[in-house]
Amino acid sequence: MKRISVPKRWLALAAVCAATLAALAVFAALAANRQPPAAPQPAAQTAAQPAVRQEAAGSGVPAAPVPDKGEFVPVAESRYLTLKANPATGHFIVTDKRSGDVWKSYPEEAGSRDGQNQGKWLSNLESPVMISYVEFNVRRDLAKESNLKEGKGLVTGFAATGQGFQVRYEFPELGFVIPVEVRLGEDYVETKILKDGLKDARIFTEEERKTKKDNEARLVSVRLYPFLGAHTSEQTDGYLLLPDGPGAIVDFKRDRAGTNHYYNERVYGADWAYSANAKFSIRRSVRAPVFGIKAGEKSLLAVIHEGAEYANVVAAPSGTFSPYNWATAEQQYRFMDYQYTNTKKTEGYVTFTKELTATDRSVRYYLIAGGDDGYVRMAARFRQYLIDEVGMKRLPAGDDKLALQLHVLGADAERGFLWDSYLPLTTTAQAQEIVQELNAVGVERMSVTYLGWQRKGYSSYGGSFPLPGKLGGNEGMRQFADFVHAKGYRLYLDGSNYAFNNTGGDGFRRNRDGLRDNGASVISYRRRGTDKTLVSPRFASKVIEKDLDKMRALHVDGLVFGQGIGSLLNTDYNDKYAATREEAVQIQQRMFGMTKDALGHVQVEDGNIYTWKYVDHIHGLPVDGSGDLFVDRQVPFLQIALHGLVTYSSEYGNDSDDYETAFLKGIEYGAVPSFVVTYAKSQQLLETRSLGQFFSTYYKDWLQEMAAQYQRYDEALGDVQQQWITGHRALADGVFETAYGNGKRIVVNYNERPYAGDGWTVQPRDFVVVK
Amino acid sequence: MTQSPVAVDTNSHGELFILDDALNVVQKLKPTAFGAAIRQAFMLTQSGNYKESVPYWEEVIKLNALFSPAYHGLAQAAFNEGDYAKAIAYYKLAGDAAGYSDSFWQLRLQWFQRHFSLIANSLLIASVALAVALRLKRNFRFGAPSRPRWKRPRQTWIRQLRHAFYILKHPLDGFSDLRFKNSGGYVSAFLLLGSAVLVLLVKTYYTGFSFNPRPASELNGGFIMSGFLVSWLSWVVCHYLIGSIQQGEARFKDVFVGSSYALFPFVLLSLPLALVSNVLTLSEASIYQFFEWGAMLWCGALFFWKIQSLQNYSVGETVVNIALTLLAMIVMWVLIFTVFGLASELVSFGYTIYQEVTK
Repeated sequence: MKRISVPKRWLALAAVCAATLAALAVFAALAANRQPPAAPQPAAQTAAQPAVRQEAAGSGVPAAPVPDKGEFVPVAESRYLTLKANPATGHFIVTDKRSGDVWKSYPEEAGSRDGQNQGKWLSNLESPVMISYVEFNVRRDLAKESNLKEGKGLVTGFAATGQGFQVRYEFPELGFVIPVEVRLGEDYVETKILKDGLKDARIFTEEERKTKKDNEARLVSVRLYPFLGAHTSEQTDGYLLLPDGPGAIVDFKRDRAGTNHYYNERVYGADWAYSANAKFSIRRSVRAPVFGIKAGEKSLLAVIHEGAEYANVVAAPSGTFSPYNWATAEQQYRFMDYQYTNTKKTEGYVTFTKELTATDRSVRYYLIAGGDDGYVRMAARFRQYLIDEVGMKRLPAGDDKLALQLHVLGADAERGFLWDSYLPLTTTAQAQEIVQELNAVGVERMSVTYLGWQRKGYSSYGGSFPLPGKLGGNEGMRQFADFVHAKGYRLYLDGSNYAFNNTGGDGFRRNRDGLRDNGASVISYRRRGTDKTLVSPRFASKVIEKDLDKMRALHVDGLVFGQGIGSLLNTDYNDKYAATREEAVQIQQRMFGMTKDALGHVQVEDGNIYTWKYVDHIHGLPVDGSGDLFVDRQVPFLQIALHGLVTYSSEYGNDSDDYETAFLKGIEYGAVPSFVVTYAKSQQLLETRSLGQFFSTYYKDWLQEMAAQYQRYDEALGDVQQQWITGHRALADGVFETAYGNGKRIVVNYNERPYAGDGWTVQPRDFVVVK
Repeated sequence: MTQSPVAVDTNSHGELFILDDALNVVQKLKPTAFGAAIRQAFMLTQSGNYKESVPYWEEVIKLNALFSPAYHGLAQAAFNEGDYAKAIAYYKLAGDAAGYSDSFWQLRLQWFQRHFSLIANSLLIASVALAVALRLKRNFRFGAPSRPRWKRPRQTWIRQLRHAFYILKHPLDGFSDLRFKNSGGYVSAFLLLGSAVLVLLVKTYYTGFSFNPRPASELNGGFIMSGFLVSWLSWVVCHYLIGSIQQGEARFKDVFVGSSYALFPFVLLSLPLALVSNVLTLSEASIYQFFEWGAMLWCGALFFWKIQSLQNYSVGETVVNIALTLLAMIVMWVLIFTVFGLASELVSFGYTIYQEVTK
């Protein structure tokens, strides 16, 4: 073969390289040109466009979501409100005659920006009802969201009733029919999803089955008028009030860091019959089914009146899903359930319950006019609701001395070599000494609660009687009760242990009487070193009934319930004692009522709203929320509503993370002091099974502190026990003022520097009473 | 509260600043009264101002009686003051063996100093008395009538138990006697095993705090006891099986009895050692460990000689036998775990069916 000469070889190589590079350059240039054009600048949309809406029907994407068909016709009038409704969509407008405030069942147009919402959320904002459903034949673990517009729903059956109107929302493809009734009360509008007429499934006929596939779509949840009162953050000042902790405020903020702020909590906490994982949640449960919206000068308080046990409170600030701040109640008809497939509960799958849980569900929206202090007015209205609807009563006029809540730890089991032994920490005689010493240092009134009084101590549940001799026995407890009565105090016993059982006492058999979840396995759990099984509420009710006679013989004044009785609310799938969540509420109420009738008094720890009418003191009323970052501040909404109806306390004064702040919070929120003590030294707690959770309980360590705190609490709050809280506001950053019905004002300063007011000064980390 | 903290800093007030780059926030944390007290107390203790740190530590204890560094701080302060009784109590609460030992050393020294004259005098008298007694014994030996001989006890097992002492001095012969002179039986073996378990428990619970600084509630005597028994039993079984394969001459009884007699040095030495450790400090740790290791090594040696004599092996064969026995133990335990795992799966399967059927 003829060889190419050397210079020619190099030339050829150079030519090939050049050609390759040129080709690459051409391709790169082509690829660069194919990039999508840059996103359009938002500069053109900075100006808000509060255009008027009614004539935008059908002309492309309207600037803000609003019902665009038809007029609003007046349908009802009450003493303070008028109601107008749109028959084509079922939306309504309610006007407050007292102030002229207007609330709409659809989002406020003012302040929303053009083109900011696309697709799904735009249709959400326009719809009067949002639903979610599960298609069992497609994916049984996923609930799909839809709304009236997207689901091609129909609005049928609009009819004005005397007090409002009725309408039906139908989803023909899915087969859902949601009957709604809107009714006007004296100062509220009540939206109700009726039980009669609710259809949650589509029954396919034979011919339909041939052509269409039956996805088995079933209704899971409904949000009715979710954007009632929704406002953007552009033009209105205001906030959302959420039932997280004492009350959480989410301000209307234009610029908020992050975009996944979403509040979704089940009322009364998770139902353990379905969600086993919820046991480990550290979030505060919703104890009262309320939420509120304040926009400008007007406020709205929403109370889930019927069906609260099956509802969630759902809310989001602006910038998360839409430019609106909204809060609503989501009514659940089917529940997400984790079905275990083995007894060890390590494997399972997510699904939704098959049966429909249908009851009447209603939410009442109370219109509140005027004022800067939105949440205080909301709390005042809620207080009225508690008196009128829940049945609470004002505290009787006392003698201006408040009662220190003294919790005494009786005994627990001590871990031993082969078996546990009984370790008494405070016998009844020693408890008597503690009370006497407290009297000697100046604590003149108290209410004593005995914990861990059961036969085998704090960590044993079931078979509580007879009281063990090492504690003093039945006789010792009776003497202590008489001693306490002679001083005019009351003695309570801890009743929350009736909700559990781990000894087999009281005739409890785990497989027969335990609380069962949806997978028919008995719910039990380990916590703090003890194993305990939850007891079926009906069974617990029977046990309490039997034990109440024995309590009466001990001269005890009442029981303190909590945890499984009053806090945890679960559906019971036990065959013998079946109870829905609604029935569980009634069973718990019966336990409270029974105890109050038999013994005279009852208290609850962190209890749900349906227990409040029986109690005269609530322990563990939260002062802290769950720590969500989008919550701007905590306000004492529950405390303002409850003050004067019951006394309440938060965490123990000697078992807190931050003692000073806990004390100041107690003063600011109008609480009473509470402490947990033992006669034995605190180091002995380490040897017990489950009392190592308390930091320091030796009463001698705390005598002086208890006396000092009691004096200060009494000075501040002794004479306002029966008064309503009429005002609460922040005077400065870290300085808060609480005002009572009799004109007393208390200013609390959390800062490190003193705060000077009008002729008075508050020292740092201190409070002052301003008359 | 924080998603991805990237920077931490403090200021002179003790406030903590945390920068979170996912949430775009700076979080400010202030120390609580409890935290501030701890910080103050620590700073004073670290700089050696023990006396000034005491009120702060006491405040910390009052707020949280279960906070052990506070007890440590108080112990150091008490030690520094010379109040060793208080120091030793605090060190025990704090779980500090070194501190406990130092305080105990001081207390012991003080005790010796207080009672020195008494001790010295009694030692002197005792040695004089002993010398006199020995001399008298020597003088009187020829004239004294011979004492009646100790009657041979009728009970075999008492004789067999006494044989344990003989084994200590003459191991190879002693082990052979176990078989051929019937100097060992099942009853005595069980008794020795039982006493070994007892001594083990005493050692666990009653060893001095300096050498065993764990609180009583943390010790699990049942666990230790069963662990020991299970290991011993598996050794015995495996050794017998390997020995029978390897041309050994021991019967099962011999292996069982011999293995329990070989534990005797442990019984003999550990019990007094555990009791004496209560008056020793870590300065005498070498003595304590010498005896502890000595007992272990002696036991080990006795095991070796037991194998050698009972199975009639040479030294090399014994070594091979031990290695194979250990291997056999591993294999046996792997087998047991596998079977146990499978069986428990079977049991839970059966139980699930039972639950489904009877529900």
